[in-house]
This record gives sequence, C-alpha cells and structure tokens, in this order.
Amino acid sequence: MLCWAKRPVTEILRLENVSKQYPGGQIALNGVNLSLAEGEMAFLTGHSGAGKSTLLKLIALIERPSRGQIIVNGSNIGRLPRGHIPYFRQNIGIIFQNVQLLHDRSVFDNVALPLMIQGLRPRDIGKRARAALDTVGLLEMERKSPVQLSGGEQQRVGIARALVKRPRLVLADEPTGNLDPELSEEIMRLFGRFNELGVSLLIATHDIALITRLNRRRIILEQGQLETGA
Amino acid sequence: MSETYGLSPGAWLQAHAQVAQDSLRRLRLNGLGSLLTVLMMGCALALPTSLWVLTQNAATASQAWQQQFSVSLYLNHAISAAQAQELLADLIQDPRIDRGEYLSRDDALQEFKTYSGFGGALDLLQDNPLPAVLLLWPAADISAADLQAWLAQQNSRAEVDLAQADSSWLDRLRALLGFGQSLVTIMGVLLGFTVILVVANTIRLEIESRREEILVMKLIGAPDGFIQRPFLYSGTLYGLLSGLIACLSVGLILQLVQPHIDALAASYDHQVHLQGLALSDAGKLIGAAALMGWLGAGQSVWRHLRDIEPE
Repeated sequence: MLCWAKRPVTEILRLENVSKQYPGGQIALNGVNLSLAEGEMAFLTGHSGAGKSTLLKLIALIERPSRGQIIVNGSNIGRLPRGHIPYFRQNIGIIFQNVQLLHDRSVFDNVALPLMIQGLRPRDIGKRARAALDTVGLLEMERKSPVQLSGGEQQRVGIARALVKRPRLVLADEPTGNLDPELSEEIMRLFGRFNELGVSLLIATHDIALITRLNRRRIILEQGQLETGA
Repeated sequence: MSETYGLSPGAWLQAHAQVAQDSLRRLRLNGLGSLLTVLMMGCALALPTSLWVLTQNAATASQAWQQQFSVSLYLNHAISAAQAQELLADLIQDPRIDRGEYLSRDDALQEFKTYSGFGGALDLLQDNPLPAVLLLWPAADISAADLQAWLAQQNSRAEVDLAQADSSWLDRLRALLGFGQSLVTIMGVLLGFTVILVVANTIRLEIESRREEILVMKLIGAPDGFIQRPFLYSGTLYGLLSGLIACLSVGLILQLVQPHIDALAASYDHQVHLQGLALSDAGKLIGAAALMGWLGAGQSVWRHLRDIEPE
C-alpha cells in the first residue's frame, strides 16, 4: 500500500473555467474549475437547478460547454469530433436517475449491450455480463425483463451495464433519486466497492443525509458556481 | 481514450447474423403492418415486371416471325433467267438480305397451279402471265425504315416491275413493342421510386417508435453504424420479400393473360407460349428490390437518426 501512496496522483478528470450558457441566456455553469484524481470517489451536491446535471452532461459530451476546457484522462474532449463521441462514451460509465433500460430485452441483454456495441466475442460477452450481474447481486435475474424488477434492482442493472465496460471513470446522476434510504445506502456501498477496485466516480446527488455518513469529498455547486471547500 | 471498435471477422459475422434475426423477428411481430407494406411494394414491382415479361415475349415472337416473311421482287418479262440469277447473286451480297431464291416464270406457274386452286383456269390462257420472281428474306435485325429504303431502291431498278413486302402488320407490332418497352422503363423508374419511398417511410416510423432505445444506445456509446444496422436490415428484408411477391405475382398474371394471348396468336395462325420470368431475371428482380429496400432505409436512417440525440 505504501508504493501506491508514493505514486504521483494522476487526474482522471479536470474542468478548467467551464461555463455553460443556454440559448435562452440562462447560465447553468459559470467558471467551474474542478479536478478528480484517478481512483477518487466524489459527490457533487447542490440544490436542484444548481448545475449538477449540466456538469455531468458536459463531461459525457451530451452537451458542449460554452467556454472552458474539459480534460478526461489527459485529453481535451472539447475538440472531439462528433463521430468520435460514441467511442469516448464507451470508455466511461454513465448511470442515470431513470435507469433507461431497454424493456423489450432481458436483464442479461441490457447488461451485455455495451459489450455487443464494442464487438466482443459472444463467449466473452456472456462471461463479463454475468460477472457484472453477479457483482450487483442479480445473477439469478438475468432472464427476467426489467419491468419484472423493483426500482432498486433496476438501478443495479443500470450499474452493472455501466460497469461491464470496466470504465475508469463513472458518472452517476442522482442514482438513488427514486429509491428509499435503505436501498440508497446499498447502492452507495456498491459504488464504494467499485471505488476500492480503482474506479473513479463522480456522483451527483442531493441526498445530504446519505453522503454525510460516507466520508467522501463533496463538491458543492451553488447557482452554477463551485462553493469553497471543493 | 483509444477506440475499441475493432471486430474480429467471426464476431462481426455473428453480430450481423443476430441483427438480421432480430429484424426478421420485428417484422413478424409487426404482423399485418409489415405484410401490407410488403404487399404494396410487391404489387408496385409486379406491374412493370410483368409488362416487361410480355414485351420480351412479343419481341421473341416478332423475331421468329421475321424469319418467315419474305420480300418478292417481280421481274420484268424481258429479263432472262441468267440475268435474274446474276441479280440474285448481287442482291444477296447486301448485309440487309439473309438469303434468296429465284422462281422462273414456269416455276411460278407451277407453284400457282399447286397452291391457288385456279390451275384449270390458267390452262385457258395461251401465255404464262406470271412474272419471274426473286424471293428474298431480309436479315432478322433489319429495321422497318431500312427495309422500306431497300424496297424503294429495288422498285427503281429497271429489271424490277414491283418490289413488295407484306410486313406492315409486323411493323405495327414492332412499333407497339417499342412503345411497350418505353412504358416499361417509365413505369419501372416511377414504381421503383415508389418502393424506395414506401420503405423510407416505414423505416422512419420504425425509427420514431424506437426513439427511446436509440437514445439509450447513443448514451452508452453505440456508434451510428451499430444503431442503423437493424434498420438497414429491416429495409433490405422488406425489399427482398416484396421482390419475392413480385415474382409470384408475375407468374399469376401470365397465367391470367395466357388464354387471351392464345386467342390473339390463333387469329394470326400462330402459337405462342408465354415464357415466364427466367430464374436469373427473378434473381435480378429480387436483388434489385433488396437494393431498393436498403436505399430507402438508408435514406431514412441518414435523415432521422442524426436528429435523435440525448438532451
């Protein structure tokens, strides 16, 4: 463990003076500077409308910043042409509040989809998708349809789908937003376990009570700007 | 972050096979809707194709009839047999003429007696009134205009009293054939366009109904190629099936018109057996239909997939 501590800390994510202004003139983010170290797990909090979702969308290239630079794993994604966006997204895990599963496919197929997109061999897809389902404790559910699962289980399928790609960076937007406190804590524990495996996570949540119990870094957004202490 | 979209050939094939299977499943799932679309496309293709088959048949028949019709050059009485033979040898050199035959006045008389039934009447005459004839068979590929020009040329010869071809009905048939062929082309282009548009619209609706799915796929990093693949397969499948239906319809249409063709041919003392779509032509039709399906789907995908982006 000592040699880990001695290694220079590398950044997986850095935002430099990032602003986002929508066509209507509304400023969602204003000069945000932020850095996430490789292997770090941080919470992004703030009132609704403070810009949490916008920040995550900019990192996932769902939206483009009006100003500033976003550097993911050393490359400036602002210059990424449209055609490269899918390949960029293949390398990050994205988890949504409304899980966004495909309801006409089985749980297994949902989790396997990112690997099919990457064109892995079916045998490898099977192995890795089942391993991911096992990690979130849903291996016995693989044949079911997502609609047969509870909200918490669906969210865990979404997490398995994000992690099956073995991403180094995971973005989660209110992943516990629809869950009761007990399930929320379970999801957070799951994130903690992945973090221990070296995955960097940036989790947007407004569940203050939950994250105060977890001793992690908190990035607080207030009206599109970072609060001190971030 | 590096691009990881490199597929091994086996995985690529397997992925495509899976998408093709999935397209077929969706087509079946859509049941009546798919069936109606495919039927509509099939009928649109069957129309120009069956017309084409009919004109092809007519063209073949007219070629065969061409072999049978001859041109008669009625020679001047002053022409001797030797001169007539010389003229014949000269005329056969012309590439427009296939072969020829010389009928002397006596031959002509003999033939007239045999075939006309007026043999007895001729005996009453002292002289043989019939001229010597050169019977000439024009080349099969000669055009009506060429033949007319050639006939005029012969009529102006001093040795020839009259040059005559009884091919006017064949000319009419040919003109009709030319009209039919241009009609086939026009209908083929218009209805081909229709087929492409029908597929494009069907695929557009399919894209609309799978909007959520496309959004999720884009969010988890599916490139356009991966997302459009099932739609291109659907379109191609629509085309393929409509091609098959068109082939079957053509067969049915020919069955329906055969009795009428028989009656028409009988009135010209001919027998015509309609040739259906050759296997190779059926293959081409199905291939072309599949291509049209692919084009229609491609057009739709190209126009609408880009518009669906996560917000």
